[in-house]
Amino acid sequence: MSERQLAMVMDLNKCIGCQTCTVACKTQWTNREGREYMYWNNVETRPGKGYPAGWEELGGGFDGSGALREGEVPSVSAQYGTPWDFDLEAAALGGEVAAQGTPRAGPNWDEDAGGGEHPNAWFFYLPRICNHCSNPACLAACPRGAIFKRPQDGVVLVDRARCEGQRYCVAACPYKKVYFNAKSFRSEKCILCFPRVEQGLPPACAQQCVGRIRWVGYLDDEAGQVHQLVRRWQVALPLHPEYGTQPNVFYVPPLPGPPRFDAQGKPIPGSARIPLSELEALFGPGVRKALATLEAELARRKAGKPSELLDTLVAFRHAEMFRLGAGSGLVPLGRRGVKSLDPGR
Amino acid sequence: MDLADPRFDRASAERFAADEARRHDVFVAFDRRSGKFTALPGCEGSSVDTLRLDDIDWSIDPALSGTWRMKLRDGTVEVTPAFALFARELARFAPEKVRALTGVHPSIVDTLARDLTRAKVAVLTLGFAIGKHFNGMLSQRAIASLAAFLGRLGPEGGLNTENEWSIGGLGGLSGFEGRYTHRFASGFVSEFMMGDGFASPERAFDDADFRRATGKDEARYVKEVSELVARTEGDAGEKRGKPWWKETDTFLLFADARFRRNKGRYREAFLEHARFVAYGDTRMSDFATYADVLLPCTSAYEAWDLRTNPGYHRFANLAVPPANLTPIGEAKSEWEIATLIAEKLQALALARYERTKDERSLRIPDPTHAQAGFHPLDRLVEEFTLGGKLRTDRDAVEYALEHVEQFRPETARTMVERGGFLVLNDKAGKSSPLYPDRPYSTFENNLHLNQRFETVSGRLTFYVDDPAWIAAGAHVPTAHEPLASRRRPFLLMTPHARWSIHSTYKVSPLLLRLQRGRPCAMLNPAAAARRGIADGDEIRIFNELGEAILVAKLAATVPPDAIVLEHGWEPFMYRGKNGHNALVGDMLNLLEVTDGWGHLRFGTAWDGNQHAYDATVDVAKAGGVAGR
Repeated sequence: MSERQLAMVMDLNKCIGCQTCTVACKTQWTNREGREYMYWNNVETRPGKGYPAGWEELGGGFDGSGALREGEVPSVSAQYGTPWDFDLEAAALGGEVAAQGTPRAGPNWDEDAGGGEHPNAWFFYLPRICNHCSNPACLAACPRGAIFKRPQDGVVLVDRARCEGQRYCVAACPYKKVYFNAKSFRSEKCILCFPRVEQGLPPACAQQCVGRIRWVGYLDDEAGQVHQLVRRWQVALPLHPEYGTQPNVFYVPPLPGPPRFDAQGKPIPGSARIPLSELEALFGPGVRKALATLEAELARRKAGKPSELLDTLVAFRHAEMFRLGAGSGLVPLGRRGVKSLDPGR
Repeated sequence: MDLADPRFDRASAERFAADEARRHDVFVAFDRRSGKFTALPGCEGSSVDTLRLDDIDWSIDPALSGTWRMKLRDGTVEVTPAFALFARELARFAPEKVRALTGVHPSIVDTLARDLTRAKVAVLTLGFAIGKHFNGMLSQRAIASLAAFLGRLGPEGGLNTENEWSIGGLGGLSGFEGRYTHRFASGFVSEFMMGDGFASPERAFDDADFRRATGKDEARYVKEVSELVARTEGDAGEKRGKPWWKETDTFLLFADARFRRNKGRYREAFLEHARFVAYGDTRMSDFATYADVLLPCTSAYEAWDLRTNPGYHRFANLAVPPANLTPIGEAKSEWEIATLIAEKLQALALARYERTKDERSLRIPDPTHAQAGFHPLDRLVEEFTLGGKLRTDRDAVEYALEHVEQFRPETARTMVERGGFLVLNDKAGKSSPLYPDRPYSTFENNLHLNQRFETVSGRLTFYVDDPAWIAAGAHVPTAHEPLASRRRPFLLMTPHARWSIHSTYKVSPLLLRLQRGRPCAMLNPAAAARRGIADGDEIRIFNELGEAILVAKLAATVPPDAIVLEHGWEPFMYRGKNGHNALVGDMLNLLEVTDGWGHLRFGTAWDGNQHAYDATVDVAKAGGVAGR
């Protein structure tokens, strides 16, 4: 265990699946040097196979007795998806532009496909990063002791000097958020942008999120919104808690959506578009209580009464979503992307 | 007199019974207070410009229902208020009828009506999508008219569309101080005619389609539309409606991926017609591959630029090239390229003059659009650059910041300091004040100050007194059937894309890897199963106009009678460069081509659009056979 634990909350009711987080992470960390196929941050449409495809079927994590479960290393071509390239020169010469290779999988393969049947189809987006677990299966599985949790914030990292690329961690992570870099022959993963965090800045995925769905802060910081959402209101829940790794990324589950239509096209009062069983399968039995709390607060607000919870979830002030120690917040506007305005033109 | 002719419903007051009754810009109401007909204040032909019904000189209580007898010069007629006519038309669309037409259950109509009525603020937001259907414009008009029924305007809601901000002072960038007037063509008519548009409808639709959508047979409808379009061709037709210029065959275009966008056989027709194409873009679009001369432009983030947005938000964003930017190849901003072209044109003209001493080398005759009757090539650069002040993208941005009142007091430096944007000041509100601390809502000036709307009646106008609209049964808001053929089972829907802005960024590998790497069509799983199509199969979609090869993506979210395909794919991303738009046989809508009544005069506020959702298609596994 670390002395403190940094955590992230994501409100799935606000995620629009724009993948700005994915692109922010990709361009910052994984668009080069053997990491091209990796998406430390991905956003998948649920229901769907996810990324890597079928990751929930690949084992890993701990069983009821606390022992590591068997896990598999996903296939790059069939499950992660080979990052295909394009011969754009061909277009310039009057040819066609096609992906080189046959795309079979990718980080956003099932985007918006959804489940159910029209007109009662349903889906929601599930953004995923490393959960920086309190009981990381990757750490437990590494025969080299190359994976560690930083004491000051609980961020799970790979010690590249110790890693020998044996991939036990890839198989052991039930979320499949550790990746093998064939070029460097090391395991690599989300580092929660610790170089940014050390400067008081949120991870790139969180800062860039246009929907303001991500809060970042220390779980023991009682005044922080992360603590409020996870501990006080208990509306933010871990993904697949049954995997036994004690994740530190928490999700505000999606509300059940509009009512379903009957065969005549009439809405069925009290029905839910998203089956509760699907949400329980993802977020555990705490979903019922979390949804009840959210709905009660929504009702309060609709009745014109104040709701501290909803005010927090709306996230009126971006900087308040991140409490990362003294001087934390966002980069001051004037310093963001500063451009030259040469006075001597 | 034919009392059944609805034109008489807008007849005039007794005191206008003579000449003014024939004016379509004077509107009258039956005043229940005085028991007489009276001209309404605020209409285009009114001598007063307020909408007030109560003022020092008048107090009007207009009848909105009933029928009234009006004495005209040649007899007495029975008249009905336009609003009552509208209500009568609405009665044709009772909830059960709507259900039969659309599948929307009456309880949903009921819920929507109650929600709109009871909500504290009810805003109707109208975008482009509905107008992509052949008769979508009529539906848009009907939806907009709900604002009147709700009695909502301004802070209580109402209608929110685009083109709202009032931003002035940019005329200097392209106005030439009034020495020249633009040949401002109607986009949808020009593209239709450029693309040999009349060649497609015959194959794409049949007589039954036309009768259903227009009430007329195909031959008659096409004849009426083509006659209208012929009237507006060239300089001679410019004031008669939607203008277009057939003779344009030499093109200098920037960032216009027109082969991606246009329908039917546009690409072939354009290439047959065009003599020379110079094309500037930041990227290699499909259209760029056909250009005679390709001009590499700096991208949106490598040039100075100031981006305002019509009505969506109150900011203007500044783009400034990053420090130490090394341009890729010879890339330049569009401003610089245009300046260099102007310089070259002038130099060539002067050289020719030196050689020939022929004044015609320096003067391009233009009796209709140039004050002096010609364009002087020896002064081209001076005029184009405003005496050298506007040579580059940066010049243009600084000019705008200096001259646009709504941008004050910001400068490029203050914009950079706050993160690259400015907030439009209070002068930018057009139909409402733009408060610094409150959301913007449209039409407060009309609601609170009784300012007239930019319509011929000065109000939300229900009645279009144009023979074509009356003949079409569209004189009051209504809805008409689509034109899309029923011969094929799937409506091809091509909405705006998630992964591109139209076709910009469409070939970005970074973004393609977040899709499926090639154009894919979303199909309803049950409909796909009936054709033996599985997720990931290569499929062909086809109809009478052609076929396109794509990948099938099964999606429960797609209706069983539609294929949803994000737009923006470049034709060169399809096998044989056969893009999906070749399957769309558009037809101009007579009502959109009609022009000249009241406020329905060609301009930025009254033009038509392409009907991207006019095509139905069938689908089969590539190489397979279609059929259930």
